[in-house]
Amino acid sequence: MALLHRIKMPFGIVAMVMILLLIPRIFFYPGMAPLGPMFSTPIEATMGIVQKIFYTHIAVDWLAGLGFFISFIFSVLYLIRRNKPQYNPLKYDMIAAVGAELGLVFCSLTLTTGPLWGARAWGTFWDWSEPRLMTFAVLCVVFLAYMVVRAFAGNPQQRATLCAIFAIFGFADVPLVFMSTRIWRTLHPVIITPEGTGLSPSMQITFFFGLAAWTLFFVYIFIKRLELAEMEREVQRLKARILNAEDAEWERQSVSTRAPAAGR
Amino acid sequence: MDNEIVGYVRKVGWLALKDIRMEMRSRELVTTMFTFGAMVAFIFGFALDAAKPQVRQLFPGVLWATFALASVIVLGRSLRMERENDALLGLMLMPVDRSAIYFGKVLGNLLIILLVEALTLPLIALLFSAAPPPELWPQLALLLLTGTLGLTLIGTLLSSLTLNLRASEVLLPVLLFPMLVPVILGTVRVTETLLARGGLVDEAALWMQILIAYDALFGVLSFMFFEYTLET
Repeated sequence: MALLHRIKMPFGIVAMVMILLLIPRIFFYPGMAPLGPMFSTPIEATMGIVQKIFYTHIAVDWLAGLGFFISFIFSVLYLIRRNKPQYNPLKYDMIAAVGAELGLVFCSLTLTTGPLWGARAWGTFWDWSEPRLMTFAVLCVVFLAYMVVRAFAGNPQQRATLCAIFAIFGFADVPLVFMSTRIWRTLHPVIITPEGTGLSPSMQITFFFGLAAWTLFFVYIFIKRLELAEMEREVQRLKARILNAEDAEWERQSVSTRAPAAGR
Repeated sequence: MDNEIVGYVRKVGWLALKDIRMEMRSRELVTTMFTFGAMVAFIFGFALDAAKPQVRQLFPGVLWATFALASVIVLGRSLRMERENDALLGLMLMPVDRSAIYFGKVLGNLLIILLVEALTLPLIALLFSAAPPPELWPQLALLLLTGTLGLTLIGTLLSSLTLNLRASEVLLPVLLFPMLVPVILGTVRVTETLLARGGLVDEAALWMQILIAYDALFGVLSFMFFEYTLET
């Protein structure tokens, strides 16, 4: 945990710088940029300016998947090690919950950028017969239900076990989301094929640079959210201690008022 | 080795038989599910104005939406019954792998839900004037079996998951419906194709395969994780 605290700021700063560099790179086009080709990406032929959402949309989509993957891995780890206190299993549960929550945040970003692009590219915000949209929506709703289970469950061990099972079930959908464009005929294009990405070199650089920038940003807010979760747990612990101390004080006082009556 | 498997299957059968017997005596699950299903079908009929011919095409969707909503009653109650008198503890003490409890419950729920579906389907078909002809009945029965199996497999696991939680009756539908989306999608598509084209052709065959694969996947996953839900 201490290691994570130390790398948080470097990741954050680098991510911030990369995103600041990314913005002109995406939005300027070769003619108008002061530094020419290094800070610009050509406008795509058929879709025009709207295509530039692509650089953000894929990145947040990937990060949602990454968040859910982290949740899955730590859920499995929790189930395996839940009866071995030397590993501190509730920590795995905490990390799984943070992963699910961040995955949900990036899910909502994907579901915002996607329809924005689709409204221009396909003429409609949402298409009910499109497999990738359906599988992705199911994934989001499942992890939304995960958060609901988290709110309603009882003691920490019970909550952790139930949420872990649910996260594993939910993650069974992720391969489906990824493969849906390859199995069925869909409106979504298949980007990464064995022959290459089908993008011009300049676009490829922007794409991968953006992917890296957003991933570093994800790492930064993941660590920050983990710290928040640790602080929440500390608050609960202190509350419990204070309440216990209050109870003990109450007991002590009631005994002392009773004692004189017993002597009569 | 063979005796173990035979013993396992027999215990699963006994568990299902116990549930069926209880149900035959009290008839509470069947009546509540059928009544609720009928109410939902009526509401759909009024809300969608089933007199219009275009609305008749909505019959498969309304059918499976009604089945999904009504089956939550059976799925929730069947496991909650086991909480009385520590019956669940008694089940866990059986000299058999705990997953037998899961499959026993699934079989019992499956038979009860299938019975109510068989009763509700004519009602909804009547409301929407979309009765399937008798030669399609075997294929429809196969579809009902596959779809309801998916429903029951996931539903039984999730109801044991939510058994001891605070708002378990409300939580079960919230957790169940996202996982049921592929099942509902598949069954509605197959029903549509069945009624329109008179058989399980092209697209319907593909969806049936997907349904069976989904049932198998969640059967295995639930079998793996049922024990963990009993701990809590």
